[in-house]
Amino acid sequence: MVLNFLRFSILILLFLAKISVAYSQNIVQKEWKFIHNPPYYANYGYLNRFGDLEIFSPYIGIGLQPTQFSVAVYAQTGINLFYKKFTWRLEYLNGIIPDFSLFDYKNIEYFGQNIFIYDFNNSRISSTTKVGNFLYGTHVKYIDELEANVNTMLGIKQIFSFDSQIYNSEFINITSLFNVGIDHIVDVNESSYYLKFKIPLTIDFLHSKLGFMITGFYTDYISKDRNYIIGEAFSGYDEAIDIFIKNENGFFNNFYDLYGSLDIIYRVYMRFLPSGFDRIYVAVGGTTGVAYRKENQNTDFLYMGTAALGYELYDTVPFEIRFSVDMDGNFFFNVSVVSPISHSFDSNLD
Amino acid sequence: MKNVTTKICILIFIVLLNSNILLSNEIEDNIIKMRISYYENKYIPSSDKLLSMYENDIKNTDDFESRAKLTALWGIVYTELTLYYYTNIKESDIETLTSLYKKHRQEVKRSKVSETARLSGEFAFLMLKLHPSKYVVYMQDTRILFLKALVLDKNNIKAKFGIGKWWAYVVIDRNHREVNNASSQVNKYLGDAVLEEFSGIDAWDSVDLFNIYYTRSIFNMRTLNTEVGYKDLTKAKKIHPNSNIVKKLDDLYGRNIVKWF
Repeated sequence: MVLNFLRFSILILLFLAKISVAYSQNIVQKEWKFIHNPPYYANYGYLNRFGDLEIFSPYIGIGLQPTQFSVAVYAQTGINLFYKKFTWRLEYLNGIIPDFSLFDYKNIEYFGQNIFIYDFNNSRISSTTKVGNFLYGTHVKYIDELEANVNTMLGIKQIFSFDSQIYNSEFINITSLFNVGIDHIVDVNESSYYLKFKIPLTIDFLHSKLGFMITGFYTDYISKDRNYIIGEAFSGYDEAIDIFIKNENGFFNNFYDLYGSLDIIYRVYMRFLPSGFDRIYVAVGGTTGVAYRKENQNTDFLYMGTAALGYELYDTVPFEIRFSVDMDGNFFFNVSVVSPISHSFDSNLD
Repeated sequence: MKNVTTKICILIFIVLLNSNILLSNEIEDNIIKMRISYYENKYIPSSDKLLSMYENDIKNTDDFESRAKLTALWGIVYTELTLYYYTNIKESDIETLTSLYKKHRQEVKRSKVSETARLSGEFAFLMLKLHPSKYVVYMQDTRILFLKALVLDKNNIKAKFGIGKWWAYVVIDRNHREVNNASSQVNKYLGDAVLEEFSGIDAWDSVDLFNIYYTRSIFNMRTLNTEVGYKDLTKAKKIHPNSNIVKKLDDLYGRNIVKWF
């Protein structure tokens, strides 16, 4: 209970920090990112600008980054370089609060990351390299068992992504996000790769919003040793930050090697309320799809219905209280700060 | 006085929704001349003086339609002068506009006005919201208002500019690398192709063009496209060489600072 309260307070504090940090482009620069999906961060440092070149360094900051299992809080420092449409980020991240689903201080991650990004008018290519101590877990079924089987090990991760805006009239928005990644655990010489694509589509009716997203995911081992978990939770819920009660039988607590899913969300905004409050919304939605796990050669047909109450901060950041029922009649209640359906290219860096 | 201010609120920015229809009389010409001369000569009358000038003008106008257009024109003059001309907006001007807006809302609640009239009132407040110090809170609803205007009239050029400016604001204020394809959206709504279309609509477009050029200039500087940024600033300079905004931007760019002021 105390831990839950702590997690909740941290998120609230981050929200407040975001709101209070004003942007100014003088020599001392505050930089923040709190839109769309994780990572979220607030950085503070020196910005130098020479014509088309911008260097943001040195800086220190704090932020939320996704892990394989959930999300953790990190302190970060590094150098950001922007030249025309090219971006280079070199950063060191050290965990302060461990993975939210485990909450074990023995398992704090720390790593360096190097990101190259090139933006075209409607698309982006990027490369992310991460080297450091990451969380890895041996094969188990549920999160509660994971606590006993997870530890940090030296690993190298390389991700390439290609993202593109297919169509955007202000009312209809279609994006395609694709990435491919390789993960190598140096300590045990075990490696794997994955492919993933997401095609979100949203239709804005102004008073309400309808969203669809198709997701495909495939992963496999490259090495002969196959002791550590690969794969990810079904559908967009892998990116959701759930901070209250988790039903441990829930399908998004399992890791699948192959899945295809469809998410649907329909939000109705309270536009009749005064400015500021008119972003409160009620939502109904659902997730369905087929998922396969090699470990027990099991194919699951999965679906879940959701009702939610939320507040939209900026474009696609809802602070959402969500109630869900899955195909086995399991009931879930959680609080989330992430929209599973997002057009952000940044969500595809990790 | 009370009636006049209420009317300003209800009818303000009707022209924004039907921007190609303009008053064709002397009063309108005078307003246009005055509006341009404010930019050139840096003469800024107080809000009280503006309102009294408005009262004088409206006495000479008889029919409702003309009065509506006149009010809308005055609304534009008023908001532009207070919000865009000043390098530092006065708190009293924000208060005046806010009280106008509140009166407008009350009026709307009491009488059943059309969707267009309601939106036009919202537009007036929108200009206030778009001011850098204020807009962050209202970010999402400003965009929705512009989109609503587009739903009513697909060819509403002012609404298109509004959306283009919204994208520019988003990029300039937030981390410019976070917003996907903003430059294509800005080009779509504030690009040269749109401006060519817009140049067909004569009369008071020089100030609007000026606004668009300097917005584009800041946007391009922010996205590290310095060359184009300076080109747009030069275009803005050609329209109103003595404007405070241009001088301020020149100074900021010289010191490698890019921001709204």
